[in-house]
Amino acid sequence: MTDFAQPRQAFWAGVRALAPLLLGVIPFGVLYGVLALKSGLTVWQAQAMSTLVFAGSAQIVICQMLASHTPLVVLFAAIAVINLRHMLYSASMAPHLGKVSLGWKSLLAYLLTDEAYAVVIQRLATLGSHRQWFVLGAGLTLWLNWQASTAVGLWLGANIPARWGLDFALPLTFIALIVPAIRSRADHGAVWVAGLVSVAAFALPYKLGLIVATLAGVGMGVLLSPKPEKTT
Amino acid sequence: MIWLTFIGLGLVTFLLRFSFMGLLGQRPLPAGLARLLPFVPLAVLTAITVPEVLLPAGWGWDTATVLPRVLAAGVAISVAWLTGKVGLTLLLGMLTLWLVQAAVGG
Repeated sequence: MTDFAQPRQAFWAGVRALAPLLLGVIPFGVLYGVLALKSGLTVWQAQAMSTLVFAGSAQIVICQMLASHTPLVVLFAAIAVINLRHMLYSASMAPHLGKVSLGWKSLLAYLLTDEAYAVVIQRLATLGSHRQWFVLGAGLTLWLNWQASTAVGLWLGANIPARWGLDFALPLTFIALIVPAIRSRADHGAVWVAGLVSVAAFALPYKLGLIVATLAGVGMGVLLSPKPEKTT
Repeated sequence: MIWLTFIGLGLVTFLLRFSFMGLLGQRPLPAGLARLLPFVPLAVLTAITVPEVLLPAGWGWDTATVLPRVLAAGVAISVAWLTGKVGLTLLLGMLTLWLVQAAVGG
């Protein structure tokens, strides 16, 4: 159990935990800025979406849908489905943040992303007092860099060739998170099934395949895990 | 109108993120849910990543696009497995991507 003596220490520990992921996040933010301009948004609209929605790949989908004049109902439904995984994140963070005030939870919920969740959830169970500051440090670090890298992408505009493959930085970062976290047989099962189903269900609309693959992977993990354990 | 749309989309995203954190309070999670959740990070990240590697342009197989990604992912998996370091994994993965792109794309 890590007990932070002061909020400041917890905050900076959170910043340090997230920092290695920025290498992958920044190119992705730049790419979003470039794509947002291409899809016809103004600079201010594109930057505002990064602040108001703050949802990485979902923002790129929003750009594409706005450019193709998708009806609003479909747009909202699509974003709800794409971001549905955040409910799972919320559920797995909730037990660790029981004593934190609603104001704090609102702030941490706004800052919750794939990346912040991935680094925070590994540590949250081992943290004692001031743990909310750790989550804040990780979330805010990602938020600031997302805003800044969006701005850089908007500034560079179309000057980034697609051949640089900037969009691939984030999948590589995720590989770096996934592989070392695979330990048990159940973990292996969860990863293989999630991967296979994500390809098989790829053709489903609105990235529904993502949620189907996630649930299938989780199901296989549970199936393979010994009953009394894994209930922490 | 577009501003209202952004605010609305932000609100939807926020509510999904807030859901369990906000509503559960100090009550413990249902036992069934608690058993599922440890697998969420691995399953989600894998489900995001695998199509990005194998199906960047949908179902059409285009060697010049897909092969660099597959090999780069292979290098990244090896580096991550051996070192566990995020920065090194990303660096060697991107280098592989560019090298193979140069080789197959001309």
